[in-house]
Amino acid sequence: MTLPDPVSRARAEGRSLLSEAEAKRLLEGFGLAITTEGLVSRVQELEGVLDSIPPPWVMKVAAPDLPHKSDAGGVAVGIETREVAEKTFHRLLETVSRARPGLRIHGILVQEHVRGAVAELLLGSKRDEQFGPVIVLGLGGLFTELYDDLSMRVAPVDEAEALRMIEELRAAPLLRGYRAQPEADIPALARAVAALSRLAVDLEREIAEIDINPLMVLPSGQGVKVADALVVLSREAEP
Amino acid sequence: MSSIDAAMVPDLDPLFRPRSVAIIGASANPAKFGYQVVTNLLAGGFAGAIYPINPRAADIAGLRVFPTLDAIPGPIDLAALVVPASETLEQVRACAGRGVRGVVIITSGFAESSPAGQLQQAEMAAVARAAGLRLVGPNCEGVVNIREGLVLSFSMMFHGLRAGPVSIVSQSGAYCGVVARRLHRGGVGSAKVISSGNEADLKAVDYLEYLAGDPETSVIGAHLEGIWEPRRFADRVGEIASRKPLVINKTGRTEVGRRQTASHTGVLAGSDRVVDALLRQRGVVRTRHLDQMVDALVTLASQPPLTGMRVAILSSAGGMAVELADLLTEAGFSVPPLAPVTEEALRAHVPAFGTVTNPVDFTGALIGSPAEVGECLQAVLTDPGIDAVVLVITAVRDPAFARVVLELRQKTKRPLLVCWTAGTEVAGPALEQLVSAEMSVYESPLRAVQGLEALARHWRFRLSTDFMDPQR
Repeated sequence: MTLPDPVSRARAEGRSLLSEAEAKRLLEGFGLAITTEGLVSRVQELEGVLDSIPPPWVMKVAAPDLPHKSDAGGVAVGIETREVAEKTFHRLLETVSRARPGLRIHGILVQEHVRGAVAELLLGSKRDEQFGPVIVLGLGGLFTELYDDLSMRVAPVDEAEALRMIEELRAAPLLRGYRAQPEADIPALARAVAALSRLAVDLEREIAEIDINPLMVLPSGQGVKVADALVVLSREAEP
Repeated sequence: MSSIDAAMVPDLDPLFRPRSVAIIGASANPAKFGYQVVTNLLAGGFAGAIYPINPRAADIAGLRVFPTLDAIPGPIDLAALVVPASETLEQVRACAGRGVRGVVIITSGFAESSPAGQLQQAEMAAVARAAGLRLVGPNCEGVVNIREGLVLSFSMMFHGLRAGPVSIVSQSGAYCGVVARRLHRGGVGSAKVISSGNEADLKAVDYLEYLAGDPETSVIGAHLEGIWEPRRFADRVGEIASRKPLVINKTGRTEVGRRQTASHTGVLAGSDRVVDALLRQRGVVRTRHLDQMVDALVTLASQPPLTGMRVAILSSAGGMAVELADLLTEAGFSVPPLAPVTEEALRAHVPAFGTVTNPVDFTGALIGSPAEVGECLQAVLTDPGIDAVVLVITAVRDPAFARVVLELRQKTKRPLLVCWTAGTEVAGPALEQLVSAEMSVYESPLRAVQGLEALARHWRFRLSTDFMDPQR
């Protein structure tokens, strides 16, 4: 198959990491819903992007070689006004340039701040040496490693199998509506898992790892949304 | 997932139903493997022709000896190699030239010991492939087909095994004998046993596919340290598990365990979590150690389908019932209240100081009244809210209890596990009665729970939404 643009572009530039925006474009191409966002490379473009996304906003440094943006002080959330957005634009660039001199920076990614999620999950894939792509679902954010609550399958994973993966999570009761929490859109989550599986199988030779973290799981009927994503290409395309 | 294509399943009949067997490297010295392989075939009662091959000996265990393969008059279906590693390649070539259809390479010293051994092993596989003959091993204990009396192995572990429904494949030779003997002790017989060794040609998945179609096998157990041709394994194993209960004991989970694995059969163990996920999604019962594997096989082979997670405990001792209830709950089972009518039936027999709620303690007061225990058991077995029953019998030797249990087993469609803890020294004749009726006895609450867990893993997958699952 022909390679999706973000992959061929990264390959052409000799990169093994996709930027967040590229990663999301790749995921979107396989049917995953992503946050509304726009890349701002010069401050003059900021206003236009802010106009197109309802506040509050999240702003992130867009740097393909910086997979863990928040560790470098490259993420700001809950931005409500244009004034703060403009200040944040400059502050993020300064902070990251100081922390990582010489880093290639594409600009600042402005995106909607997803609210009302029932759960923030990690959805990922990893190419196993023996069995090929493996799909992983777990509690996202900081909790992934802390609670070690993961369910795993060898791809391909269809929606029915994805539902079984969801049921295996210790966090499953949370998704079914824990105490006063709303019920999560579990069918949409299952579709997202199956979509990632298709991507991982179709691009098996190209992709070493994918981390969607967090995947915002919204209440019933509202779907799921990729809020951040990391794609690591394989060193060389496997023959 | 592709289904099993009959044309793709290797024809292993020459391995299991040979009309003639040659032992290359047969020896007249009783201390040598080359002697033991011959005498094991004789002792097993193998009815086909046995041809010991040795250029110097004239008589081995009373059999005529041939100097070479070519000196044998008739066709040869199967050969065992018990020659030094340096001679195996030449012997595989000789077998290919002579039209032998299967070769069991018992000799060690290949991929498990050196890169040169790895090459030599690959060369033997290439010769076999070109000639259309199949190799078992190298570095293995051989193959056994109980009903044919075929004990093509140097091991002493396969004699007197009862014929039954379980077939075993193991990369480790030692597991073959131990598992078969433990099944035998549990009242469950074996069909075929394959020590697959280094799997230079035939891989574990080939044997599993053959066994899935083998009418003499109804439950399959495999002990694997690593998985060769993992994609093919992943592709086929689900279909195999959908045809027969499949238990895979996969070891090499830890770094230390893997180090031993790498030097042992030369397989790089995959990340255990991935293997675990794969086996789970394909409906395989995965176990982690020998006891768990044996309990899984024994229980799957001897118990009817389990249709839910609700277990009743009926015990002659309160303490044992409590441990069992804990272990069952931790394993995801429930030990729910019994129906009022059941409790009423129990109250007619259980003394006031006992307990008629689940877990039921009928107390030592009833150990002189097997008939009354039988009625209690009958009551819980017919409770509509119960999917399986574990009967715990402690300090009892009366074989009448065994008769009661066997009678009720005939009447029920539910799993009934007996955990009789007195042991053979105390309750030998009673236990023997159960075991000879293929009714396994679990020596501890843990062993019974391990058995039930295997039933639950298998039947939950197989029955899908028809399985009563409290978690759904």
